[in-house]
Amino acid sequence: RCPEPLGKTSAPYSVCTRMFERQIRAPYGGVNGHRLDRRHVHSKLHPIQTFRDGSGDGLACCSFDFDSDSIFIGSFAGDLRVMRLYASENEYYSTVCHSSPIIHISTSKVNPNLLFTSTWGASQNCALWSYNRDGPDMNLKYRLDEYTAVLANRSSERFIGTKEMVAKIYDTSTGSVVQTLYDEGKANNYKFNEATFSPTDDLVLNDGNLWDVRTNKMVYKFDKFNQYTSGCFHPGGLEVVINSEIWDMRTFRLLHTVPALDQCQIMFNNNGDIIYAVRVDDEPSETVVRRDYASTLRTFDATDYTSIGTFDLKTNSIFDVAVDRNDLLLGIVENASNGDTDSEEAFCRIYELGKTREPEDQIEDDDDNPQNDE
Amino acid sequence: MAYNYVVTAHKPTSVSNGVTGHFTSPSDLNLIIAKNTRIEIYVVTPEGLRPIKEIMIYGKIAVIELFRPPGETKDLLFLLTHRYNAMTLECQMDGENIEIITRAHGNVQDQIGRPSETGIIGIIDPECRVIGLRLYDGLFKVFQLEKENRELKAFSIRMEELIVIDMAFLYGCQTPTVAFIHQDQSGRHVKTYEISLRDKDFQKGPWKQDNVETMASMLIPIPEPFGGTVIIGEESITYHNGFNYIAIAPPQIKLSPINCYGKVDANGSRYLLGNFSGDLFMLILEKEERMDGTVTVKDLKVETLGVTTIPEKILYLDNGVVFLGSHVGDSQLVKLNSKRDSSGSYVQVMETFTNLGPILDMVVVDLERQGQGQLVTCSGAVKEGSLRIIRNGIGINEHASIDLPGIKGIWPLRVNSEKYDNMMVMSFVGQSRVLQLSGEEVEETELPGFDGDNQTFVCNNVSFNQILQITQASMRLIQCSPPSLAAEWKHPKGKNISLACCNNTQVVIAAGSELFYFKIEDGKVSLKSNTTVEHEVACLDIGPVEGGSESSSLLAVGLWTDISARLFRLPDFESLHVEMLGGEIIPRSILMATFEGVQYLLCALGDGSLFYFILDVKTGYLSEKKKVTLGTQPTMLRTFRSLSTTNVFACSDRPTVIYSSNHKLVFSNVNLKEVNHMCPLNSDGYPDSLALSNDTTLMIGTIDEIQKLHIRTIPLRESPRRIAYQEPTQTFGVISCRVDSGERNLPGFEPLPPPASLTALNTSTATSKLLPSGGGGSAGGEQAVSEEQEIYSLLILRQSTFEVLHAHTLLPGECTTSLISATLGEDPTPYYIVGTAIVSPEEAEPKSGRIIVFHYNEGKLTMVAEKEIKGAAYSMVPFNGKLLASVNSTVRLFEWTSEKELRLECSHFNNILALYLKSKGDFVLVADLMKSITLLGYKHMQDAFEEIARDCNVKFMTAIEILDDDNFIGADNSYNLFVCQKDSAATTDEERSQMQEVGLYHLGEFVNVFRHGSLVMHHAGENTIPVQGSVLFGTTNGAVGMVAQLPQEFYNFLFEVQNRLSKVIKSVGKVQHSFWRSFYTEQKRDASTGFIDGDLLESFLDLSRDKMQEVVQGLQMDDGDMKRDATVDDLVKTIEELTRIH
Repeated sequence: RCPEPLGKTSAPYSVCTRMFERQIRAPYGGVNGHRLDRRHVHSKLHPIQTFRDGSGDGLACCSFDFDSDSIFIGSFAGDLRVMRLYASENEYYSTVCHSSPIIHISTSKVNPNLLFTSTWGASQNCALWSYNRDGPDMNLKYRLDEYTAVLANRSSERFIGTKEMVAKIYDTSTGSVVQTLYDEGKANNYKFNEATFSPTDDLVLNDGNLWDVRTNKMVYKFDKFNQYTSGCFHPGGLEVVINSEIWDMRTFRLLHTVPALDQCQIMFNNNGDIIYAVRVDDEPSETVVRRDYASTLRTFDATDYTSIGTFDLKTNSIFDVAVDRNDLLLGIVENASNGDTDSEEAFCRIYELGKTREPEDQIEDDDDNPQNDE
Repeated sequence: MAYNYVVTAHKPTSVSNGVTGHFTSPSDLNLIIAKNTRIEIYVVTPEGLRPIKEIMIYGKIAVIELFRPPGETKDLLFLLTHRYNAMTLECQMDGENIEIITRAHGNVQDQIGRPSETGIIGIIDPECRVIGLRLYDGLFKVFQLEKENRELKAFSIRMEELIVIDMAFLYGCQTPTVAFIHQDQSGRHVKTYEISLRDKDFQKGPWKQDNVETMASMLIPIPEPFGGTVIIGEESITYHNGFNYIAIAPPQIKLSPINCYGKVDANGSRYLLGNFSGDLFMLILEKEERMDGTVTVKDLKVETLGVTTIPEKILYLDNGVVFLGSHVGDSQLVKLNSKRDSSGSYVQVMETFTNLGPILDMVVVDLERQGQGQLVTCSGAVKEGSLRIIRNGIGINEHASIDLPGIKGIWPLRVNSEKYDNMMVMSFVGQSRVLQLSGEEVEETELPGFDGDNQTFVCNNVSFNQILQITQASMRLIQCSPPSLAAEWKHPKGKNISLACCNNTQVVIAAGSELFYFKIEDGKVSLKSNTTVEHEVACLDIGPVEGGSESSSLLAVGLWTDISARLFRLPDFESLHVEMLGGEIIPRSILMATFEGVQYLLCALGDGSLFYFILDVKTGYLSEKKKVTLGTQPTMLRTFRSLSTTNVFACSDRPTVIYSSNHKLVFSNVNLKEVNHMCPLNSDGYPDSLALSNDTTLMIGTIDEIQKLHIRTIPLRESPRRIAYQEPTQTFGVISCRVDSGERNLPGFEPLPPPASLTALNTSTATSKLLPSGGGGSAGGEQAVSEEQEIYSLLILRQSTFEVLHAHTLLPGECTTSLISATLGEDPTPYYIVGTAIVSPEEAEPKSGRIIVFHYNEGKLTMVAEKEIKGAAYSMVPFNGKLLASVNSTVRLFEWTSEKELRLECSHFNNILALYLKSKGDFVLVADLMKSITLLGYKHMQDAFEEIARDCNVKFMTAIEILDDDNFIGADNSYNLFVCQKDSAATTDEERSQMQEVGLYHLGEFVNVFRHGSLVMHHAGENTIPVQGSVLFGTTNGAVGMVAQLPQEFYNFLFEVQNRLSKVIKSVGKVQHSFWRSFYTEQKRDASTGFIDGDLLESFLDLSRDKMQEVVQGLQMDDGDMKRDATVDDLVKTIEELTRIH
């Protein structure tokens, strides 16, 4: 769908015309040009690389390094690998972090040397690691009795951990709890609750409830329209997205409803202008934290929530999605196994945004692009 | 090498914004124009606009407003840059000295927030209480304008309306009240809010109007007594103030969207409106006085006034005079007349201000084969589209020339003629001739009393209506009516005269080392004094140099043997100053001249170098010695006047005009190969001309306006897009686009001249075997909503005249995207190769296009081959006899078969959109829409491309160039420049495959094109500064810049100078230089590195001597092999040399 023209100098819809128009109307060829360029890039996806688990248990989650061109991948065996992108020798560091599967890795641009791993199984907990790229080596800082944890957005001095409905703010240097954000009476009991800091770190959204960090008071309880996702802040700082509902962060008015986001796990790119969404599988497995998603990845323009692209990854389900520091690569952990066999065929595939395979070139030079094929 | 010098050769000229008010003083009416990073301040005078100050801002100007806080007698200037530096500025005048004081400043960037698609909007409350800014979606920022506030502080108000199209403060409100057009799912609405300064929040406004016109784009606040706003849409104009609502839909506003407005009357009853076609309208608010004495708007009327440039900003000055600032064409100063002229227009253009912007493409050519490049740019758009020919130096336009070998001197004469010169004296070895000038005719004549049998040294009109001729043999005084010899003087001992000089009343004659001084009287010359100097006289000059005086008390002499320049006081030859010039080259020409009220002594040597000094007329003392090299041959200096300023013409193998600008001497070369002698000539047939001679020819011509860069405009009246030069056919190829919009002519107005593609000598229309129906353009009947159709053409222009020889129209819906001139394979024929795309308005990306090979030969353009491609050919380069093209996301190599067909040889795929290509040898540099740059290598054996290295950072590319085998320069859409280096010596494959960012710099200009080449002639061994290479770039705002490479040592030295300068030169608005030049994108900010800011360096020359000293204090420079303290003169010399590389 073509965005509505805005004002007197709307950019041309065709990227070709727009590239010439921007020579006159810099930098985007007119109003909406930026949005159209964004659509151009995020409406295409092309696999470039695949990482598989050599030992056979399968891979479970991934997260990009914010400081170098590498990706952290967690396996069902509990080990964490650091893989170099673009390099011929991919795997260059591996360490055992947990005795059970690593199901989530959290990295952050505010301090790329810290990462959290979450495990699931016999014990469900979370660990904070400090990563040294020169070694390379990974040092355990703390193990935490949380399901997930994530650093604050503007400083790495604090992080927030979530276990079921309870969120706790920690001091990163000591690992001690600073604040607990939980009000039993107001709990929404979302199935997949994950507390997050607002872009300015003065607010926290936990279980659909908004907390003021400075006063340690709950500010607002958003209406609950779904069972699954507890929501997150829009990085633009104006809105809160809970499932398909977009709320005004200040007036708490419902601004939009985006049905396509219903029951989706969403994540924003670093620039805050694109949403990646995967739908939580309709039949959730018996455990709460183990998340499976359907095989379709969708991209949305985060400024107006319009849909940009829908990509059927032709896999059984998606375990995890991560975006790189340049907003150009997606790491997707895909589960290609059919049904309930124990040997999970789950691998991590790197996709590049903005590119598509051009079918006519497959005929003309079929050996030109070996990375194309799996 | 990875050290770069970047400098502006031609400042941005496109006007982005402007204001009028009383900034410089309460009584001055100022016009203040923003040109990207620069502000020009003019005073409006009855004679026109008088420029008084130009200010460089460390940032692109986003908002400019004048306001007058309570208690002030004149206005202050509010500025906001694109990087959110806000400032309020005050102008302080101290005589001629204008000082800009930063009253308050601050950065208002938010840590989070989404920059709005509709850009930064800044508005000012008519009562000057607050300034309102919309920087980010959903936030309204408010500045309170308090007088004693040094730090600009703002607060933000959350607004529910996310998409704001335009906004304005309403007049006559108790509290500041903002009105805006916003858009939501249901359409566009106008809403008002009051700003509560106490609560720092919006409160309900006096009125709102839902569902205004869907394309409503502009709000004009109307002053009291009407109040309210006018809402401009694409089809209607509405007045609304809450209870009074008047809408009109005049047909003429549908021609093209209204782009800008300008207020005519203070009471808001008339406004000028401009649109994207350059139509100028007057909007009139007709009033109605009610019984109760109140006044309301009764009706709206729109009058068409005429066609002007396409304005970006309309600024009404006074008395019907309006400044129209343009982005896509020249800006204009126009007068609105009360009556129509013969073409039906009410608008009369008074002055035009050249604008090169937007420069979409350019080529560097050396048409005159002088080793000096000229730029030919594709400039402007739509009806303002043109080619501009830009050359450094001054053009002489030849009007007549005569083959006359061996001229040794020329002088104009007025013999019994009041106003004009009517004769010209020419001197040859052993003889002299007089030419009669009548009209444009020139013939030899006799002048009684004139000695034709000797070589003339000097011949001039002098006082008492007499002529003085000095030859080797004698000095002859000739009276004019009737012409006859009045007096003659010979050397008492019969020696030959060796040199002479005279002015109106005085003569000095040299014979060897003897000097004789005479006064010219009626009918005779009287010897006043004589002397003998130490050595033989080599050159002399008697001025006059004192302003307005007819005679001189100073005599300047250059001597043989000791190589000195000396000053004597007349009549007694008192020696005032001896300046040893050093070296062994004798002075050949000496001249005292006054530039901009400052007296100089110029002394040219036999090797083409020139010394110049400041001359103290009272004491004869010389100071501030400087040296410059003009040519390689002996140089003759002559003064002439152009546009009432004195200039000096230096005749040599590289003729130069010396003039003064901002109290600095500027040396500007002339587009002639060699000039031996020159004199000014002002005859009735050749007014305000120059006569110039070389070894073979006498030429009479006029000189262009004296400025460093000379610009010539070739209007095309349609949008040029790409240009290529084809030397063998002496033609330029240009691809351009015109919009055919059916009936566009206004009743009562003369139609506009047609675009170039419709006025060519020959025309042809595309045929295609591959794409018979054309395609895109006609697809989808509902798209024909607008009758406007874009028609693309290939134009062939003659090199010498820029006449359009041929226009070839492409298929309907086929848009031209690239153009080169090349030969292919073994085939020696020069081809114009055009890349196209079939563009359909409802398709996000073209799916097909063509590469078409044309041959132009003797007036005929033939299509030789065509090749269908799967997308748009964004860029093409010749590559080892083959054709390399980027087609959508791919890079493709085509070979030229013996059947004259293009055959795809190999392709490379690793881009989102491969927008730009450059090649060098077997290397190809590719720029992507967002994935920065990639270097490919061609493998001959495999017929394939291999990716050698890439820059892994995200950069949205706009232009690239290969600096050398290892360094690559690029520009991105965040107005940055960067240099990436390939590291072939790296140890691992991974390191080799990644380019390093070795240069980062925020240019503040959107670069559309890079080209190797230089605008100045490079004189071997002349510069002592070690600068290499020269890449020129052209930008959207019409700036031309240059990037050159520096060796590390020199870079380090200049970097130190730059650091010192950035401390000494206080920027307007207190923006740090390091902040301004830091590499900046939406995602990141990095310190500038690897680039020297030439603009900052050159501003050193504008500093006072004290400030220069402050910069130099403690600066070490390398003097051969040891370091020493640099002096002010050292640095002046270095930086002056740097100013001459562009």
